[in-house]
Amino acid sequence: MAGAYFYALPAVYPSGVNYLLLSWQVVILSTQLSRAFAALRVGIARLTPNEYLFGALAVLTLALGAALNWEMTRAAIGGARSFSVPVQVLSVLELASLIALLLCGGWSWRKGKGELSVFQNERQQFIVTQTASFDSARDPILVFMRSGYITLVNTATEKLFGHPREYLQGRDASEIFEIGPNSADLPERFRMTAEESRVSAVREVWGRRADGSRFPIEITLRDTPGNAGATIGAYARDVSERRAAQEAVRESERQFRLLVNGVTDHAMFMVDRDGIVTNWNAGAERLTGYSAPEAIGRACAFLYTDEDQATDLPSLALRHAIEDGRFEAQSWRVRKDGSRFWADVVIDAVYDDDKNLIGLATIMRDITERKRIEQLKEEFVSTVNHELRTPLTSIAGSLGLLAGGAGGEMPAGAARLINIAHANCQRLIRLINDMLDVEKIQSGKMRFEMTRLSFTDVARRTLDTLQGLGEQAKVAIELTTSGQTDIRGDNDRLVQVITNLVSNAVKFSPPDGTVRVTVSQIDRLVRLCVSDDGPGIPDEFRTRIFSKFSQADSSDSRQKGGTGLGLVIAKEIVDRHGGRLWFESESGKGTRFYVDLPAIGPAAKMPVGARSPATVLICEDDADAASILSSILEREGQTVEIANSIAEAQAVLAAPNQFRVMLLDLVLPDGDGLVLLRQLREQDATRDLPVIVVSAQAQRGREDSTAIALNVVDWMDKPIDIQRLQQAVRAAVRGVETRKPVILHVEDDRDVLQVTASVLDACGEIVPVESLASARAFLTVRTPDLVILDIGLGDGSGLELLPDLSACSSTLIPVVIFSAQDDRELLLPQVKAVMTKSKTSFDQLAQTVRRLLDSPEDQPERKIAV
Amino acid sequence: MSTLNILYVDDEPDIREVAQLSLQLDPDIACHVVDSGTKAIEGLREQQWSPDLILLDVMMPAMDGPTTLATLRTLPAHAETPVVFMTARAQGFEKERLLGLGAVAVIPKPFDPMNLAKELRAIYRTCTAA
Repeated sequence: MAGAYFYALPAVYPSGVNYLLLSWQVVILSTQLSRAFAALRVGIARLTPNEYLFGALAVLTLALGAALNWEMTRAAIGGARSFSVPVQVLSVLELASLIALLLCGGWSWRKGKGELSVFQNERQQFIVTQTASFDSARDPILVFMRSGYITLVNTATEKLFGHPREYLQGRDASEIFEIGPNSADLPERFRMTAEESRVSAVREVWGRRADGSRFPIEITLRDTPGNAGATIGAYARDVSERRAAQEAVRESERQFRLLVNGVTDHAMFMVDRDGIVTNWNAGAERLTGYSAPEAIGRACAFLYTDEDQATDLPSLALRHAIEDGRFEAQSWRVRKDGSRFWADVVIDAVYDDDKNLIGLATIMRDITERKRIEQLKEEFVSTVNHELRTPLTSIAGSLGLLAGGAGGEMPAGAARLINIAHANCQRLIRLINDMLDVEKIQSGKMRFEMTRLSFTDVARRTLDTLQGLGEQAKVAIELTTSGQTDIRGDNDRLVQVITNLVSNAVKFSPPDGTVRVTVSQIDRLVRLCVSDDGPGIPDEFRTRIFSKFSQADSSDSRQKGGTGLGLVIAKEIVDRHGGRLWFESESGKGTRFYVDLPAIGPAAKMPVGARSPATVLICEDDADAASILSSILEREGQTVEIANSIAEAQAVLAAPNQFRVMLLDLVLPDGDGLVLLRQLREQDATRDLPVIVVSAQAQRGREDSTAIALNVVDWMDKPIDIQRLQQAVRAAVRGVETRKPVILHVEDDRDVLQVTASVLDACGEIVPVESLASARAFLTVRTPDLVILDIGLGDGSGLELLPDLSACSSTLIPVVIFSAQDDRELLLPQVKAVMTKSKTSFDQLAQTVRRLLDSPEDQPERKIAV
Repeated sequence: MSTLNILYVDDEPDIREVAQLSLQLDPDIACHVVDSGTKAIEGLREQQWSPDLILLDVMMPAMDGPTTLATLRTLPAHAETPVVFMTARAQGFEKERLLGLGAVAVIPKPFDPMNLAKELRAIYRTCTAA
């Protein structure tokens, strides 16, 4: 303690004790005495009256120029301890300047400047830091001596550590921070360099609270100004939450890395746009034999066979993936050891949030074994097929000749036996054929050759071949047809379907019964109906009728000679034609099987005059474009009329017509297509006419803020995507006939809109809008069947739309609140469900929407949360 | 009805016999039967027979149906003789493949023995009329 040395000053200012204490501390701590105090853990913040007296005496002594020896008794940890403090006297001049400085500082503090006040004498710099803002600062602030000893804390620090300042001030930093070995110097402990101490150093350390708990803390260290490095100021911040968030991210990254790496039967790796491998998982290593260091940095072509490299397949695949977003293929790839494997490869282009290509993610699986098994299976099926057929050919041939009388007259008994053998032989052949068909269906190998057919003709030809069967069973087969029954289909497969249905009907008809077959057009369908007077299908069998090897009872198959596969195949064939196979049956009253197939329009244009009314109006001035569009639509069975200008379109639409949909170009010789469209929407006759915009400027229209009110089915850029056009036309035509429910989704997050639209696609027509204004524009022209509403929108609260909804419909439009806000208090009558985004899956949303569309009068469901 | 000369090639003796019996239901069909493509080609090269139509099994050891057909086409006398395949694999694309090789028709096995002769006559009529 010898040589300890301090300035003392009895500072009596209006702030009173606090300021006084601080000046004491600072004065004391700015001397080497601090180390002694720290060692003794003296809580110098709490000075006794004795010490005030000491201060006063010290000044007096100083003033007198006398030496002073002062004995201090302080409560110290571990008991009372006393020590003496020698006081070295400053010169009067020094003292005067110190007092002047302190008074000055006090004055500036009293004026409420709240700034750090610096006091300086000739020998040493020190600070009187009490400022108005220090104690009320939101962040914990601490002042350390360089030795590590805490001299000053604010209220926030007390709260953070759970210790009162009296406890903290005067303690070593290691009491509340875990900063490693108890080295002498705090900057050292915080590894603060000289350079850093001039600016500031940020450290993350662990703090320890009064209750012993640890928490991560970020401290910003900085030499307190004007103090020649004697003290260090530290801003502390509890970073538990940030640390937890970082941990979570790190953990999820770790898990993802583990996942990617743990997947050993899938090779996963990324390449950049030039095909250079940028990362490589354990699966890739296992599958190819190349380690990550061997693969990374190389062009991915090394995985391809020489033949594929020669045809430039590696870069073609990448280009394909970049252009289309994805490339999928099955082909040979090469391992490090030169062996080949049959790989299933998917390459996905990966983009960041700003749509910049980051790279291409490749997932590759070795499916050599699967391919081998598939090949074996194919070979097996094919062999069985051939091996069974060869003996059957001899058997069926011999029996056929005998049964046909080629072997001469036979005794009645023998003839009967031959007939039985012959019939069962035929059945075995059918069974083999059906099983092969089922196998083909299941492996997706059944191919269809679709051509334009008259379903009436197909039925007539099929029935001609079945007359013999009818005669044998003494059942009449009658055909009635009406109307135009053109369809697209595979002739042979449809013959198979009709044969199956009619032969079933014949089998189950009573002798002298009649099987009636009708082919007719019903709306947009061509329907074939096969009805019989048989016993009907037993109730318990109806659900199983389209399953394999299902027959009402096992004796049937023997009696009726069926394979139990016919209806499975027939249904599959009809499904693949985009049709429906279904039945009606009543026990004891016969059965009616229906095949519904989509009708297509008449093939040839009828002569002018007798021509059927056009169904599609194409408003397009370019003759080539118009002719392409019409040929696409005519293939869809539509009849087309072309208008070359707005004026022509207006004239055509003014006359009575039956247009189901209009295709509109935006750039027309006499004006803007959008102007025409707005006019159409104002007229009763054309208000609901579905319009598809097909234009090189489709984007312009789509982005027009008022376009939502124009109710456009689709905006299509040129060149035309044929499939999309066909779909849009089909959707528009369907929309006229069976109206899909309209769901208005108001939401300012495009991603949410997009996901919701895809989830709800089957529920109805989703109209996504991003603002209240667009929603209102929509409501002026259409009335939705249901509204999904976000509350926090860019231009107001979603709830502001509720009055508009009430105004546009006499019935209550159900509203589903789908919002980030967890607001259970929305007890408005039209609000049927309140779903919180973070707690609701999109599936749950879809379920609720479906339920409400089915029965909108449901009791409100206040809250659906996981 | 004029006599139709048929050369029938099949390695299966039972099927050969049944098919032969079936063809005999038409008295105006004259049928030569051999058990391999090789023998058929030899006989044709040596002009043992001059068939109007050749009925070929597809799957045969040594020389299969398609090879027989290809070799046959190298014989000037038979560059255009109609060939009908008879096969247990007559489904879908296999049938198309065989027709693609230049056959005029494909008859699936098992065949209808009471109608085989009629069928071949019809095929022959169609392809000679065209």
